[in-house]
Amino acid sequence: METIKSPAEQKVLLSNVSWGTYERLLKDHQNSSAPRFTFDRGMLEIMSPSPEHEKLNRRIAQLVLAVTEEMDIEAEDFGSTTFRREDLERGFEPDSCFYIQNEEQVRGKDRIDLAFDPPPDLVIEIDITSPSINKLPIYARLGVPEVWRYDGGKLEILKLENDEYVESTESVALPSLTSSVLSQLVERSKSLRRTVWLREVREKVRGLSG
Amino acid sequence: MDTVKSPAEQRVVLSNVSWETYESLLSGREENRVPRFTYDQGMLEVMSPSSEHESVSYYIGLLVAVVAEETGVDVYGVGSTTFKRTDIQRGFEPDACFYARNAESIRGRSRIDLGVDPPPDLVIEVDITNPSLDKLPMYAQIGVSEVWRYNGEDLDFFTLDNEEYSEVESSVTLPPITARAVSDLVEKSKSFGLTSWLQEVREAVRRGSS
Repeated sequence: METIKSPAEQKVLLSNVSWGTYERLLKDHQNSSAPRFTFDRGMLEIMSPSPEHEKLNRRIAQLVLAVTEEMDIEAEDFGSTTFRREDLERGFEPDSCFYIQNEEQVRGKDRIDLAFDPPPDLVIEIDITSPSINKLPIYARLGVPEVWRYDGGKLEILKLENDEYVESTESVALPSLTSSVLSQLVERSKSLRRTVWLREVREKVRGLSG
Repeated sequence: MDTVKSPAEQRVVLSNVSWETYESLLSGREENRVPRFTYDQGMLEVMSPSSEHESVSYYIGLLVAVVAEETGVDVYGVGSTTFKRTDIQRGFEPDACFYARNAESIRGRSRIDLGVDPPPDLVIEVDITNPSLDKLPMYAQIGVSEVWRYNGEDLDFFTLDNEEYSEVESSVTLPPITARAVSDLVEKSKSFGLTSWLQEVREAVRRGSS
């Protein structure tokens, strides 16, 4: 590789952070999706995504939207919305997330309160560097039914079963999509122009349902 | 080398952080000085040092002690103490810092309050990756008379002159040590055993003062 190394993802971990401090930080940053905060019972991870991280994230989010359109499934993109539960002392801001099966329940809402509203149906997690807080138990505790985790080479579909994630070959949120097809499509996104790639995504999906 | 090179520091910068949030983050961390916080009028940098970063700070701290002993200068180290001033909305935690001229008045104190106490006479700053906040203007406003800054290769000395820093070759706090001598010694710390390195430091000071 001859390219200049782009700035890496930056992460810091704080311990003994109170819920009040976490909330104060969220309030100071309510209108920005970066950096992203993850809170787990006093531990706070603050992460500034790298351009590589965000590019992959945006591409996967676009893929989800293209797929839902092709499959004629309603979906709402909630981006890096903050989800938190004070009673569980946990909170997260996903790389991307979508309401699909529960889309109707959150349609038109400007705020999500997990005390009343369902968690997102699908969370995208880009793990190209090792995270300091394992987010899966947080997603599990908050009831996220499906997570797509991308490690830079492979996209894993994780399905919530009895409060734990198990790897699955096929998506529940977007049926008939498999982890191998998703991994291939994400790989293709690295070399293709966005519009050309999106066309390829659509064609692939049409092939699956046809 | 088949090890993965980890970045020397992890830095995240947050904007729009209130003084109250900064204070609550400081108080949650208790005695732990990691990660380190720098606050500059709403901007908060959170930095997690790597072992390389901490090792350089440690060796420079030892070097200061040896130079002080050889030259008969009274120094009192206060490590990464938090220095903050609400009135100017700034605060920092140096990698290492020392009182020399004011050592007598600070020795044995359990807290330092910049409202009444003098600032440290010498601050050590290790910036192996680019810092997101320029700390020199902050040190200048708080009145730190000398800064040694190491960028991973070179070490520069700065002394405060009319509220601005100018680069100097010889230390004012610890004459006659020079920036070049300290740079060389820091480089040697990476390959020498501790005892032989300390001997090198002593010899360098003796050579310099003769």
